Amino acid sequence: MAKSTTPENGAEVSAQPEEGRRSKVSRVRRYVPGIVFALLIIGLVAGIGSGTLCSVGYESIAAVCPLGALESLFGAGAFVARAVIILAVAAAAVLLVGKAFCSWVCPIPPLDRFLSGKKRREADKAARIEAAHHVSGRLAACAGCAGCGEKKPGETPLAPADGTDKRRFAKVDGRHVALGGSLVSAAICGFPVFCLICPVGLTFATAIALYRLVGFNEPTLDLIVFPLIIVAELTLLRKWCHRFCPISALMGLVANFNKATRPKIDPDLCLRKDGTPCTVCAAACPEFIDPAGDLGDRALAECTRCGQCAAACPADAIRFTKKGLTRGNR
Amino acid sequence: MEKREERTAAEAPKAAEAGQGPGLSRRSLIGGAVMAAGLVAFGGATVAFGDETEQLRPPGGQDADRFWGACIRCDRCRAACPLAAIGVEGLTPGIIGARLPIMDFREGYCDMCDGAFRCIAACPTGALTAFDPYVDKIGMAVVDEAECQLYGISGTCNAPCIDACEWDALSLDENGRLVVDEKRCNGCGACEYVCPTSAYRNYDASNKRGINVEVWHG
Repeated sequence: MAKSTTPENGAEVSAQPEEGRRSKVSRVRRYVPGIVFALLIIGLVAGIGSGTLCSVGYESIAAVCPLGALESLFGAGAFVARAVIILAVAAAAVLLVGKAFCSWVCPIPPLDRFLSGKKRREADKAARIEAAHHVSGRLAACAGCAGCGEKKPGETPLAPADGTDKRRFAKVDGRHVALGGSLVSAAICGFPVFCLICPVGLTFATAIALYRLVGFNEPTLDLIVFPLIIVAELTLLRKWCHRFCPISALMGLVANFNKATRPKIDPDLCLRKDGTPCTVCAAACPEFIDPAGDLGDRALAECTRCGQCAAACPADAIRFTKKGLTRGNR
Repeated sequence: MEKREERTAAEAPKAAEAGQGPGLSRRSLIGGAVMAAGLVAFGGATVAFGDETEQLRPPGGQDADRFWGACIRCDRCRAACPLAAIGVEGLTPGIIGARLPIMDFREGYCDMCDGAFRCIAACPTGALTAFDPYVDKIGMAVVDEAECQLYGISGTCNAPCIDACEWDALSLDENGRLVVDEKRCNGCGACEYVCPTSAYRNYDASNKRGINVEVWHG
């Protein structure tokens, strides 16, 4: 399995840049899911009716979990105009910001981090480093081949940011099978089965059960069972987000067509421009992506906009908008 | 440096063959397949063996197939109810109903929002459909003759339920007993909400009130 490898090729480049603007963004992001959760719970207790992440909004204007909307279409077997419109809006949002929900809003990744022990966190880090090692392998293979006439000899490839865009689609994995299972089970059983065990929904259900206990003196079994289901999912089905989450799969399908806010590499700054096989960004990416050349184990379409690559980049060459790129490369 | 370059170049095809990194290959597909099969089995089992206890649903949720199929348990109708008449179904009646909205006439009753129906407006998936309080029914008020104080020997209740009913569905018969007009009652729960029998803190054995809204089969 995971060989204990060191990032030989990235080692020569310091992976510890000084605390800059970018790492600050990355640090702020860590608190956003918690803040969103807290705001929704405040809305719940205050009776604003803002809802949960399954559906957020005010009165009749609301966003809905795209998977929930799809499941309900399959479950009820009826065409609901509202659900379809909401699905279109969700798709538009993903086209704009990709899978940013996963790292900026979803409460599950922080919960997973909290639940995983030191050993698992270290194993995750080792896996990332190994993934970066794969990248340097591909990078070397790519440099030694003159296959695609795009690059000058001796040059290592950069991101598809420079117009030569050969879009790489996300590979089918367990999440997509789980997504199919969610829809098929909804159609067969006549109700959205996945919603019953969705860890995101159960996180809020636990909070609601707690609120009902305190506010309505309603002690229920839910308060014990719901957290148990979440813990079971995150510990028994390890790497839930990467291997099982059908919401991630659904958003990823649409994110294949997103380009707007993907990490962009400034070809003048990236160390790979003159052949340095730097893989610091790939080693920092929790999604096993290679932001600089899309040579990672997973496609760039899976990017969750967490900004850890930009924070780690020793040359400060990664931007999420065109604005930040140096003048000539916009 | 040179040597290292060679090594990585030699390793490259191997890495490309492996294609997907740790835990993202066939194992992941199998995991997903197990989960997909699990979802179908779990859903099928809860439908086949679960005690799908009948509950009072919010207005517009009376078409069972539609309600069960479309509700994603998002909590918005419960949160939208200004009178807190909507509660949450727990796990105890059966896991299949967990987190579905139920009418809870201990906490409030349905005043139909004067026709605005905030719960229906808030429902994002169309699980709650249009509701006409003169035609459709949330449930049906049923007098519990053992609990209603108008049915006792003394019959001392001043019947706040009759005053609470906005639909003129409750009246006293010639013997001073409470009766329900099934045509007019739409199960709004106002009668149950105001009934003094077994109000909170009355630890009565049956825990039922003098008049209770029950599931109605047209």
